[in-house]
Amino acid sequence: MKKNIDPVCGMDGKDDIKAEYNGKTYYFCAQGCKDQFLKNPLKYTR
Amino acid sequence: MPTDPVCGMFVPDSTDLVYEKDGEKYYFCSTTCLETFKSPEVEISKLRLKIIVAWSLSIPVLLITYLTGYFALKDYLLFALATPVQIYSGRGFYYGAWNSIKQRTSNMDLLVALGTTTAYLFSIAVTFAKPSFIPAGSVYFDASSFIITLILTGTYVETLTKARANSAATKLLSIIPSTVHILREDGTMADEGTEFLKKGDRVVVKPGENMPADGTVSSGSSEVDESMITGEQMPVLKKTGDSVTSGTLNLNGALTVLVEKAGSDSTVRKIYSLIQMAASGRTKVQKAADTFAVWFVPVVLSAAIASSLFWFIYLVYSGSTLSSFVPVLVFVSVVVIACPCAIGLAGPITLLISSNVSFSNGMVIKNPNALDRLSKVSRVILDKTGTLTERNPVVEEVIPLSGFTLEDVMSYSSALEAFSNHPIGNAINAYTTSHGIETPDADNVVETAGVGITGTVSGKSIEIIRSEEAGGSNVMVKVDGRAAGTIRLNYVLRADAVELVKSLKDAGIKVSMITGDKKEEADRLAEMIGITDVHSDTHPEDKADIVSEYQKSGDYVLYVGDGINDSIALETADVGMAMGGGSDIAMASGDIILLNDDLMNIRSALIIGNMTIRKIRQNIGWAIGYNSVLIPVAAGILVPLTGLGIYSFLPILSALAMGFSSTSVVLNSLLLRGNIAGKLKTKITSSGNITVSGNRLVH
Repeated sequence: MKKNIDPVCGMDGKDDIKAEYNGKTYYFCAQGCKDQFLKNPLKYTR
Repeated sequence: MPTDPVCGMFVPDSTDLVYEKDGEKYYFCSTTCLETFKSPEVEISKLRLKIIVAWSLSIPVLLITYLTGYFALKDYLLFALATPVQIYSGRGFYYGAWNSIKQRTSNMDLLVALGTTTAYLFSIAVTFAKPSFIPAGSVYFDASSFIITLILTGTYVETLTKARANSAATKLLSIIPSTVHILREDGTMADEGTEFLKKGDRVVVKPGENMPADGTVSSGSSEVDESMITGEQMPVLKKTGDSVTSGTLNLNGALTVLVEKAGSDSTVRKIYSLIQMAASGRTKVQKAADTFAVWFVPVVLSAAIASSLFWFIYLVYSGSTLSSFVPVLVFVSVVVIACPCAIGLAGPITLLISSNVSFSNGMVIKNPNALDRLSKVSRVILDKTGTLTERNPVVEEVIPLSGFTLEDVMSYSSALEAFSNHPIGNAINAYTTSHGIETPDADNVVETAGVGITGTVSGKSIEIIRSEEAGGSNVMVKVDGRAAGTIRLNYVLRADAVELVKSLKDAGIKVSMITGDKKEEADRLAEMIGITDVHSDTHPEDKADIVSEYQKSGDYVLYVGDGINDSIALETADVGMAMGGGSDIAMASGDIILLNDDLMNIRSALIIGNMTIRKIRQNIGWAIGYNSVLIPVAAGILVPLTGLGIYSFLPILSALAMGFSSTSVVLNSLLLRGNIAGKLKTKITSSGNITVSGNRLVH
């Protein structure tokens, strides 16, 4: 069972809403969280 | 994959156990969890009845099993007593188990149903078929019925304590009245349910009633207690044109309010949703628990079957008659002692308490990941205006020009500003009131936004020109076209700024200040409050770059601003904290919204973040440790020391341990409220001796 936690809000990420950062794929619950992530990926990944 | 909001288990989003509330979809592992979510009171009373039946039958089962010798009808009597417990009290476990099988997942219900059914069916077989290879009287109705009784009791305690954990949020919702007085177009009033209220309606809010929605006062004036939303104890005067927030209490006059945001759009409902959302997300520290939870039930079932097989083979080889029933008891003990719910509950229940405690202290944490980052913060950057200083200016100096006195300048200005609600106007009026300067009547008053205000006082034409400058404001007063004087206004440093900086430094956190003020001015203020790292002459767009620089040098940054011209900095920082969230809380920038202007909440937020993350770690450690230690015990690792006799009571002990495990996670989480309250109190007491000498600090 695979789970991807949305790094922005902590909810469960969806397979089709994703972004690459530093060679790693991150999944998001909604487009809003993805946009938020892309504005400042460092905040959510370190 | 979504999580069940009741038990915290993972649920595939393909499940048909979905419930939509306030536009949010919730997914459930079982109908029991779904029903509990939909109508908790009904479920609690049903649960109570099941527990009464279970205890009143299980105790006789236990007494008859252990206190009487073997008699002819003993097994039949035990069967008769244990069956209602299995079928009536225990039926919820079967529903839950069936749902989990349908969804191809696994939950606690599956383990309990498997464990108790095994003991129950085995005992039925012994009672009715009487196989010759099993010794007479080897029935385990006591295990099947007591496991159900103890686990149901544990669930009951857990439900009650969870309701307590959410008490601040529940209390918040309860302040919205259930009916409202709608003012119809023909001027008549009718009482209607609050749920029908919509934008554009006019409602009458009588003294002693709470605002049913957010809106604007269209007539009347009254003092309003906003403490339930902002924590501010002083009532605020509301008159025509002022905005009111849902949930606040109208104290002493009837108000007619034009509704702007009702139902799920209202501030109260948005805060409630944010508190609940904070509990349904997951923090980074929960990763270990998540991995554990996914593999938990399959691993436990395999362990139960493997240990049961081991004992069967071992006992058959050693020629023991125990081989016919000990393996069954091993299986029952292992599946019952395993407690997936302790792992599932470890994070959500703590987050729920944390978000409730935060709200009680005037903070709304918009997502749980912010707590993770909050616990790592090493530097706090404070924006000066609106954060370290009060939101509204005060008169600092009045400079009359030749031919005019200070009283002339102030009384003319105050006469016009009495018609205005501008912060500068309020500051001028406050000055004349406190200095006993008379305010004459004015006519033909016209206020032009961004410019100033004009009018006639005692036949003279008065003109007030407002100009904003970095760090303060200047007002030029003209009488009949001739300059009469200048009023200098400035922002007052908040009384608790010094205390905040000291408490942050005491906690080993570095503090910086950002301001658009000139260097000299910024340094003077910074020195006054004990900050040495100062960024002056800063444009709003540079603030985010300064935050990034600190992050690159390894700092975890908490940025505190007013959210007006620093939204990018708030988003860039590891944790963005916006002061005075205003009415649109969900839209406000930042991870944490401070509902009031209490600066010490910055320190409180850091304490809450640290303690919440520590508590989640503690709970996860406990849940994983509990299962890792006790599953081997149930599988028989202690048999070389205790002998196989341990299995005559191990199934019941397993149920007791399992109930204790999940309840202890809930109770440990509940302690968080007291722990945080204690820590916050200590902080306030220990730093309470700092006083600002002289009058208010004006820079």
